[in-house]
Amino acid sequence: MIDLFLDSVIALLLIVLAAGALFSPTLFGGVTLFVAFGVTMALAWVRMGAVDLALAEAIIGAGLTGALLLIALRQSRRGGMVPPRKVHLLSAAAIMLPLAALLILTAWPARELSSPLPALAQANLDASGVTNPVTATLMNFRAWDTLLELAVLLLAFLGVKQLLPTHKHTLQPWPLLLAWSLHLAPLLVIAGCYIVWRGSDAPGGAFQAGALLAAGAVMLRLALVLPPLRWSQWPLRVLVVAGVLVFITLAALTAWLGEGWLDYPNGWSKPLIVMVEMVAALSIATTLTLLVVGEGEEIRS
Amino acid sequence: MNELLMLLSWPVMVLSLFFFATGSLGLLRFPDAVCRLHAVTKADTVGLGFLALAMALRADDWQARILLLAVWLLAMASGATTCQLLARYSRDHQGDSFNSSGGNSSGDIAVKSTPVKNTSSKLTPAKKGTNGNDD
Repeated sequence: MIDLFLDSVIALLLIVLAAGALFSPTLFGGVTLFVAFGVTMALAWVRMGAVDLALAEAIIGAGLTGALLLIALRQSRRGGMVPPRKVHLLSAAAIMLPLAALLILTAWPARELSSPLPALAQANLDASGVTNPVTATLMNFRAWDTLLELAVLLLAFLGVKQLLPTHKHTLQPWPLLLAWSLHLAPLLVIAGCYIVWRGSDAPGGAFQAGALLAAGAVMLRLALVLPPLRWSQWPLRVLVVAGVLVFITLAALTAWLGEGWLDYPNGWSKPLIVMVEMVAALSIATTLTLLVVGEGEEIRS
Repeated sequence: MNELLMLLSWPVMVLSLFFFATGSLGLLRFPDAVCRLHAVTKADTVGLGFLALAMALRADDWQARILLLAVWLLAMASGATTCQLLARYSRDHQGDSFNSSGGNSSGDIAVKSTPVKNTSSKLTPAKKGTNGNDD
């Protein structure tokens, strides 16, 4: 009973926050409500038992995307929302309502079904090399999907990079921000390394750890501790591409010398998974950092 | 002993809920950005402390309790720093949309830090000619 109450409150909150973020009179209010929506979504994931997803949603969805939106807002010089025209609202309703009805009708019988996948993953956990079923699925059973995910992230970043303007700003960071970022950055590095290591046994993983490291780097860059980060600096380029490169090399080696594409040799699963996760975490951290604070320059006044 | 701690954690949780509720009430009703920041930061930090205490009473081992204490300390430091940064930002951008009590919601938030314009907010910065009703 309490569970039903809690879940319905969270669901209602999600809808209210989403509506607030979309229809807020100021863009700044919309961004703030979007960040709150991301945090509530993370809560919803925890309620459904997907703690890895909750970590990723809180860090990437609420944290980094919020920072990205605020930086974009500062560059756009527009404070107010353009209220949607009636024609837009009607056409949106005409498309979304049948889709929603279709989705609910198709998904409704699926409540009773149970998937055989969790039992399968649990049964083969010993052979996978790790003890967290989510990491085992992501990095061993469906490692091909994770490889494609990393490639998609790389492609998205390359696409965004074409559109990123080099923005110059003359802001001087406050000493408080400087001191706080210097205190917070080592904690974030420790937390990131811990999360990528713990991903084998408990909720964690490369994406979450990479996003934490990116958050630390973004903070340091905003406090002007780090120099301007640009795609033209070759260490950053190496880091961004390293994730996909290492994973593809591993896949090619297993296909050529081993049993099959991404079929890890016996006994080598855990070291390979850990190595791929660490490189992927660094790669994701660099990609996200460049997405949020790349190509910026400050003119010291 | 365990049952006693569990029973003790309930009033502590109610207390923490009370602090969170008053913090949110202050966020909604106070007239000014700085007052709202004050309410939210102080009340929410205390509420979080009581919640961490309640969870520590229900925890199984000492490692969890120390972790909860560390979480509270980090949230307190982060809240205090963020509150300061936001307050300084709102002091530098006096006439903007988020600085009034929900009334005129126009304004360009991308305005560079211009000299302080005292338009509608009740906050008086430490200027010479004003009476000292700021904290």
